[in-house]
Amino acid sequence: MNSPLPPPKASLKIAPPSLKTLALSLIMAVIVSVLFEGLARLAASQSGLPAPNLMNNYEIGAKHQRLAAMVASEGAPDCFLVGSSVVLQGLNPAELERAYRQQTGVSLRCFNFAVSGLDASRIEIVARILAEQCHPKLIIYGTNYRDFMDTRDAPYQPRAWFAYRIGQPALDGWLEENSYFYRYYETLRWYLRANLNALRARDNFEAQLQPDGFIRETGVWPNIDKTPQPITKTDYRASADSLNALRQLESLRRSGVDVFLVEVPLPPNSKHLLINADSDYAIYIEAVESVARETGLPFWRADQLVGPITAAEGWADPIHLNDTGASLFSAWVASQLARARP
Amino acid sequence: MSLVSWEFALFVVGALAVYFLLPRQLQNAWLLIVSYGFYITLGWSFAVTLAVVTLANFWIAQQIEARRGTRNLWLRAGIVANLALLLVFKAFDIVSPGLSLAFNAIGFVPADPLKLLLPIGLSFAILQCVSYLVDVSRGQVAASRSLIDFALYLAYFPKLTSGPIERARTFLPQLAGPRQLDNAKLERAAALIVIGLVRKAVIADALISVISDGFVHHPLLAEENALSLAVQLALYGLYLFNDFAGYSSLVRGISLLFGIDLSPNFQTPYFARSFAEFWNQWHMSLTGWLRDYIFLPVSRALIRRNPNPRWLPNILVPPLVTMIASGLWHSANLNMLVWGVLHGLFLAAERLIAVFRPGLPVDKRPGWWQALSTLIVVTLALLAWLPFSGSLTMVEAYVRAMLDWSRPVDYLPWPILWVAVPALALDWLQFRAKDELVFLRWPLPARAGALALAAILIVMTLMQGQIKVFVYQAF
Repeated sequence: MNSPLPPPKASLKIAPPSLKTLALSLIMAVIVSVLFEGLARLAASQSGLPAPNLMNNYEIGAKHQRLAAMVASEGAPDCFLVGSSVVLQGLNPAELERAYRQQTGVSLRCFNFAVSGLDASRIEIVARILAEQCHPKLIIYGTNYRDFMDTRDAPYQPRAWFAYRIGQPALDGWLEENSYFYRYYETLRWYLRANLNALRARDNFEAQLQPDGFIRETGVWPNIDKTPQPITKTDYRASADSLNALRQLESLRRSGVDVFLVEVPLPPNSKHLLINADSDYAIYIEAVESVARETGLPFWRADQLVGPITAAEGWADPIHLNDTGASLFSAWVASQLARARP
Repeated sequence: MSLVSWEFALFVVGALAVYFLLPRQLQNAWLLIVSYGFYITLGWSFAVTLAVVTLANFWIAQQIEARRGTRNLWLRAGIVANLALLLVFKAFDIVSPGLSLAFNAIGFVPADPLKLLLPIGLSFAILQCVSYLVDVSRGQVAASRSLIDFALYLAYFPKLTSGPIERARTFLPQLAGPRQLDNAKLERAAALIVIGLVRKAVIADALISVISDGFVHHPLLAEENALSLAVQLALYGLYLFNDFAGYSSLVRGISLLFGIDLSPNFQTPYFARSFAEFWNQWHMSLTGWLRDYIFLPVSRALIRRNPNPRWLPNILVPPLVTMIASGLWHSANLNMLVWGVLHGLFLAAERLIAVFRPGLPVDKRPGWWQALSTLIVVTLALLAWLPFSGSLTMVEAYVRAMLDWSRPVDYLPWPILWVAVPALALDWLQFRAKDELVFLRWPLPARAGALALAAILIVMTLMQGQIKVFVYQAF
């Protein structure tokens, strides 16, 4: 009589799996990647298409693309203008060059690599990357009190492309540096997340961005005489992390890059955006001046400029210069530079 | 721990490694330990609640089987206890303001706002408990003698958070019987996992991004044009499907690695030609449960009263009651009730037409008629997603904005075509083949190419940030 078969002891019954599918998939992955990379690079070279994002930021992506185009056609620029949005539309490279050449007879091609929303920690990394990539003669950092405000719980940890470019291991950073396919995929997902306002802001940015990285803002703020409501709720404090970042800029001088700090001016009443107005603003200035004294970096105060810019209706809003104000400010910076580097 | 995370992948690999080293007799116990371990990472109180529910239902089932004379009493007690527990959690948010007022009136002010978190997955577990007790009382399944197996039936981690809602009569035998993972199962598992990740990470998370700021809770509603809103509604429907179907595919693939088959939950529902067909293809495990434990019993009870198939209650009541129950199961609030009523009305209308104006069976109708039927079903199903996703006030605002064609069409989310077209292509391929794993039948180069592209997209997407929580985890 046959007894029933015992249940199988082993529950895993894998024969050496066929590696054909896996092997062919790997080969296909390489082919697909190369194909899409080629298409993406072709797309990047078409002027009608938006520049791919970098670090999921369309401003950095667009600046990177404009800079690459400048380097390809004219060579690396002699100077970079870095900072946040106040520099993005506040320092005009063309006007700076014109004024500098007028005073010194020397040409100074500049590129504006300011990016909205960056704080001092990120601005320092941008400066470092640009110095290493393009070996400029000088970098000018236009400061604003918001660059140093303490908004994080922990020190800034660079990620993705920033981390990769400053020597930290970052696979996503490597992909952002080397793969347009990856960057366009990132860009596509940015477009999917963007709401109406973000899309309009990007369209405006792309339309206004000059080949030298400057944003020409033509609007005029009508409320220059009004005192704005404070936007900060606590006493101003310059974060240690951001001041350390400022100190790091000094190290660029060892690689032959001159660094200058310049206060981007504010309208006379805009110090009231800070809850303690003048006294908070003084804390910011003293913090920057302290680092400047410590490191030997020149720091140019721009307070005497406010009158002429106001008279010329040079403000786009309570914080940002418009094109008129940017021209005056850029010319003034050029004159400071001419005195510092005759 | 998110199901789409490196931590979860490591967790599964670790669980698998030990699982296959253990003798068969200890595998279930290991899976139970692992499942509770996973549940504890979501909340230790959730695990305690599930343990209590498990013990109670295990014991009640034994009573149902042993005490034939009082079987129905035990069954009713068991069902009431399970549903009452669910109701307490689901309805707490509704009654907590009143409770707070009552406490304040007697001088007790709670330090923290009164909150009772619904344990993740409890809604699914309760339905499984109810079906288990009913099946035991009907003699369709024997009351489990193994607490470990029964506990695993409820706590099994791949299906713990959002189903599928398994029946004890198909799941318990898998736990008790021999189990093997062979090359064919491994291939199916891998395919299901890849499809799940593509649907969830690549497609669903991209689709939800384009649906502005919480969809119906739309801060820019006043500025969007009607066409854009209609498109976003369609995208929401596509997102919901890909999110949930992606989850289902992923957990089925993971479960297959342990040699355990979970029920399919989706079958290209947006190609359905009727609402009956839609509900047989959308969240199939829930539909099956509703059919077996609400629809059919209600139908039978009504037919006993009046066997005339044209008697209106026979036609209208079962689908309405069933879909209202479905709505309230998702969430005990007014908009879910409206969602349930809508689908109940759609089904009831179909039954009315079938009884009073019977036409050709769906499969025999001309192609254009079938296509039109699909269009109608999809349109109505998409509109019904509005109350599913937002309050009735927001739904009204959304519908009004969608009907207002005076605003210029200056914005359409064109980039979404890069995601929506491949998503629909994936659905079309599965629909045409009537097989979710149609890719396994492709020639080797095509199969390898599809796997390569899927892998590239999955890796790039995961590298770009956190994947959002599965939408059905909230129910």
